[in-house]
Amino acid sequence: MDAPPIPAVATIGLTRSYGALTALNSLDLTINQGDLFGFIGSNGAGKTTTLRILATFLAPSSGTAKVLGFDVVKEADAVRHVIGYMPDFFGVYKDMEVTEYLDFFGACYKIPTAQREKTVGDVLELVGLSEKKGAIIGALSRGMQQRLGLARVLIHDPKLLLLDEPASGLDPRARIEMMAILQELQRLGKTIIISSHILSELQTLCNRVAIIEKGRLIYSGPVQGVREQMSTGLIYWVLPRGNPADAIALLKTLPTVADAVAVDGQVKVTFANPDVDPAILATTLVQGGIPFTGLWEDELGLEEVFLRVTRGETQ
Amino acid sequence: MTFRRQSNFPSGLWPVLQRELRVTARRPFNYWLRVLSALSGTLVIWANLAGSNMRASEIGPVLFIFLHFLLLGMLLLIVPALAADVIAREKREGTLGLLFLTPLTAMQIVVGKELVQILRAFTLWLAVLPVLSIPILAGGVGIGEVLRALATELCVALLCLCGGVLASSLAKTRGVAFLYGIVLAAGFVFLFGRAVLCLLQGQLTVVPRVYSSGLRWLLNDGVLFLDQQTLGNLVGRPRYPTQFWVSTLGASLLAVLLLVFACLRFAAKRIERSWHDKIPSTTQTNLVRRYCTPLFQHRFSRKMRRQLDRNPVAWLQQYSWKARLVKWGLCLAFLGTAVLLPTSSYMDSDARDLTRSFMFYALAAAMTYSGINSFLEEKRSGALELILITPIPVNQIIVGRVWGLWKQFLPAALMLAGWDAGCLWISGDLRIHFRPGGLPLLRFEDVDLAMRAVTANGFFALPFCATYFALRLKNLIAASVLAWVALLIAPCFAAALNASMSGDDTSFILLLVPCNLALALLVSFLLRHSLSRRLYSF
Repeated sequence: MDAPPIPAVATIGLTRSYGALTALNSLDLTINQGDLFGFIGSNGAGKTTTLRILATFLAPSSGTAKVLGFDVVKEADAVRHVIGYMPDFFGVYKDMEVTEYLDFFGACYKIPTAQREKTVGDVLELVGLSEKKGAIIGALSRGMQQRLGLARVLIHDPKLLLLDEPASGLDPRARIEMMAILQELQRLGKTIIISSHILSELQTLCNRVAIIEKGRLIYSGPVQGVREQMSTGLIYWVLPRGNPADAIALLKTLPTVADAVAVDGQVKVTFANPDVDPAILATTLVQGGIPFTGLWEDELGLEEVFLRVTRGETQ
Repeated sequence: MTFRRQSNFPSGLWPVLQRELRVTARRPFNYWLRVLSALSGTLVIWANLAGSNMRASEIGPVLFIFLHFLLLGMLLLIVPALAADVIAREKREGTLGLLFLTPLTAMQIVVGKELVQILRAFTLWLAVLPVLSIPILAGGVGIGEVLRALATELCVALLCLCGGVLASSLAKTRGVAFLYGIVLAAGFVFLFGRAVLCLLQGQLTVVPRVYSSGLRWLLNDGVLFLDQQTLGNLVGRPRYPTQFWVSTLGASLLAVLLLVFACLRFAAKRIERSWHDKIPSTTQTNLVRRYCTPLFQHRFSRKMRRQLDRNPVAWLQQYSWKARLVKWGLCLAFLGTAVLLPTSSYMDSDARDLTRSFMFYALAAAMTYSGINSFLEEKRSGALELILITPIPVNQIIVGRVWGLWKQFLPAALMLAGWDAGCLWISGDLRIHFRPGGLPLLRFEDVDLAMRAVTANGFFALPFCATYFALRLKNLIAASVLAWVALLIAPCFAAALNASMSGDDTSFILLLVPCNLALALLVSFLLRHSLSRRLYSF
């Protein structure tokens, strides 16, 4: 029988305190290899602390964290070879040229000289900075410096990418391009953990998410799973073929319907309690002679889920 | 509708003052600086009183002169450094623009910020005041001398502030601001000292002596190495009537205040014109490319690439044209000094010593600045954090930094050693005896070998101390001061051991080497510990 694959990240009871403040409180998290994992939380929730521990920069106060089977404290050197960490700051030498900067980090990862030149060219191509090879970093825009940060992360071909707010400060086009790069990297087999506040993008990008608040894990699992878990079964949408006002007038006569309103040509129906069979809507509309082309349960966006599961508390 | 800037000057000043006072009060560095100043004053008193059999009225004037030299030295270093980063910091952090978006005027911003720095310098003086009162209580120091010394200190403090204000308006980065501040302040003090000397027509009394000898002390002797004869000569009684002194010092103070006003005005105009963010123009970039790219580019690139492969951290100390400019600029400055020095000075041991000390302090200052500032910048930008998560071992980071600094300043150090040896040979203090079939024998006559050994050992240990304090502290001045204090540990320990064994200069030198090695090892251990455990301040 095949042994189960090693998870990309496994933390057990991971805790980190700064004096009296507990930034991370007994975090149990498992991320599988190949996942594009979204890490969601308010400011000060503990996302950056988790990423910094996984990047071996910060030692946990208690608990363990393993990256691809290596302990982040006991086998930090091995961990550093397999991860690429992009913090929420640039960490650049402003008087260096773009290639010099990547060459320097390539040398830090002990990439042989002959290979380094090609690798630098490849990663610059991947992040769309080929034309800025000889530019001084200080003269690059914020978005370009962000791309350079991503190029630095990729220079040693890591298996796990830890990206802290990689899209912050980018214009819409650059954000879309960044997301496309991340999807391409996932396709190449890399595991990516991405912390971001732009939840609508994570919703389409990530296959799994974790929601964290005040250092505690609230949810971890598939994006669809959290939507289903949070769905109350109270709201349904109807797409009438004719005037929505007729459908609203008819549906409001049902004693189980608390409210029915028109939104962009559709009708949003709210039941008084979740135990009602939604088929009653279809039956009523057919019997009332109102044609309709769609009836579906309201699907929560990640933003709505996030607002529901968190209280907006920070520490 | 037209927008009017704040016309009521004092009321506009208040928010800036309030903000600066709050920030200053929250910085632990201020309190440490006061404690250190008072401690150094106490150390000077202890060093003079220990083993002295002079009477209280005799020791009073000696201590008075010593303490005021110390205070002048501190003012010369600390005031420009405090004032230099005030506006530069706002520019760096992008908050200067925000201040200009309010109705505040440039003059209000500059005055509000620099006024607090005067207050900081005053609190520093207050911290040393109890120590300063000891020689007055001991007797032998007249009220006139006290007032003259105080007026001198006030003038020097204001002149240093001028240097700091100008530097702050000209520079953006912290390191450059400090450098400009100290150079400008030293220039102002020197010129002002010369002006007062001219006024007194060369007939020296205590006040101008404090200037001229203070500068000489800063460059040459160091407070603990002055002999009693020099001190005796320094304590003179003024031969001018009180009225003359009052008018001289009054005129000096007035002139200094006018200079302060002019500097504040210049700084205000300058920041008003330059607070917008500017990226280097194409012309600037092209100039840098044309004139700062090595002539033998391919050969140089190969050399740098080899260096990068061997130790990327050492390469960091050498990759930029600015680092190369400091490296070869210092050599050029030393060469210029050696060439421009009058021929007669080569036969005069005092002139030689003064020049050698000046060159050594310039080398040590450049090395300290380069070592500490580059590391602080790396910490601030987050680049150090990124290096620490690469597989580079901590030992390689330490070796890289130390080796990079040695390599950067080795040509200048060798030039200084060569110039010193040449001077000794020309003056006949160094003789070389060639022996058939053996190595040539060097014979030194009346040469302070111990001081040279301390200098050489300082060059060896400085990169360790500079790197360690740059890692543990956030402040350039505090890190520099502590690095230099740490450097004194080995010679002091070796001197104490030597004294207990009643040894001579040779035994002191033999003891100094292991002491210095032990210091370097200890600092390396602490560095390794701090880097491994990420114990450093951002």
